Amino acid sequence: MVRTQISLFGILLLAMFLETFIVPGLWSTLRVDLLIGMTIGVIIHLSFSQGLVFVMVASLALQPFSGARTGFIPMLYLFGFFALELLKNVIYLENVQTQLILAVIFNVIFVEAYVVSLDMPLGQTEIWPLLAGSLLTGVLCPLMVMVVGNVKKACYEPS
Amino acid sequence: MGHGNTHKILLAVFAIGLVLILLSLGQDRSLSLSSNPMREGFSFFGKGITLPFSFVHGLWTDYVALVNTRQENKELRKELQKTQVLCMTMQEVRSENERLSAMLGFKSEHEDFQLYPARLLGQDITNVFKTVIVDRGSRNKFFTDMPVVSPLGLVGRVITTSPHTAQVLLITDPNSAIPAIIEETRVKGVVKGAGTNMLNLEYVRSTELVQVGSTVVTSGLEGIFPKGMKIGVVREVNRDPHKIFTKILVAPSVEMSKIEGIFGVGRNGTDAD
Repeated sequence: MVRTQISLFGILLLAMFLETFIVPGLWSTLRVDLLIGMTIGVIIHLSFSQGLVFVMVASLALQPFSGARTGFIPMLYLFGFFALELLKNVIYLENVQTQLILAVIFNVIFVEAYVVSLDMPLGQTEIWPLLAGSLLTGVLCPLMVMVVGNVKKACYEPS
Repeated sequence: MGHGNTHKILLAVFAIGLVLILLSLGQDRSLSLSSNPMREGFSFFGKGITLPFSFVHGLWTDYVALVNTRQENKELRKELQKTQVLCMTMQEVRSENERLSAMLGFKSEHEDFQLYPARLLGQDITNVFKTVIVDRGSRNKFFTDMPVVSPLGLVGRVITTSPHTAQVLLITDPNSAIPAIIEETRVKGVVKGAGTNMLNLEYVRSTELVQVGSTVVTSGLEGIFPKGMKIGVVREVNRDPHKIFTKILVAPSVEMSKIEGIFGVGRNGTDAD
């Protein structure tokens, strides 16, 4: 379990570097959420407890890189984790198209939650980067799911 | 109920409890458990990754890209001659430039302030909140509530520090509120981030005279920002006779999407917290 968590955390560090440094460098208002893909990945490939521990630690790690209220980001990802855990019994999360659509939906929900928490209108200028970010999050989601799957295979640990 | 389910429920309750505790901390960022180690780790990780790229970039710009320098030099000399002629005829522009340079010469005019340079390390993971991470922290005399400026004007203030990094709340963030004054008419108000690349000047009475193009500067009332720092220029004034306050849109003097190097403003003799 520890090896899997450490490997996933290493990947998360790289993902955070992409999210905070590389992607904003390309387009200053564009943001991509790679943790949604990893969350779907841990739900598919890891046990509930391993997945929950990873999502909690990862979302806590993201907190210092945002101006959001303390605990708000972990709360959103925890909501996402539980919602996806429930959906797992209803839909095929393993399907690539499903992963893409779910990632877009959750990204939009998260952004909407940030906006609602601030009680501010979403300016017109921010719409396009938001849409592009959500789409990119969706496109990259199956890749992150695959990465989590590969970590699981490489670690040879029973879930 | 099986042992597995009990285990799951216990974990879920623990996770929710943890989130609730964190939420109850509110905006007291000094209590954020993971902030410092995470950002410190990220700082070293980021620098480690960018170092080889910087080296290759330096190699490219200092050696490879100099292949056409001779030809470029000739062209630049011609361009310079043209510019020199133009300069002679542009005394007016020159004097204006000197005046503006004097305005921007923040350091020379404010001898009681010390400027600490920093570079941008990363940006907010969401595009709703407007914060940036810089590569200077408490060991470099950055402290909480330290004003942050660029040569063009006010950028924001430091909200958290770790030994080698600091998180800066930009003035465009919806959580940012700065007491401000219109330079020409001395009308007071509060500049708040609109969440986009614009600012709102709030609490200005409808009876007050505010013109488009007026300069908005800090009033120094809050005690965080020194008086007279340029915030932006009034872009739009919407008066509604049925409302007490005027809706004023301000364009920040600093384009937040293009900031690279910034300065932390410390008073002389200020120590890091």
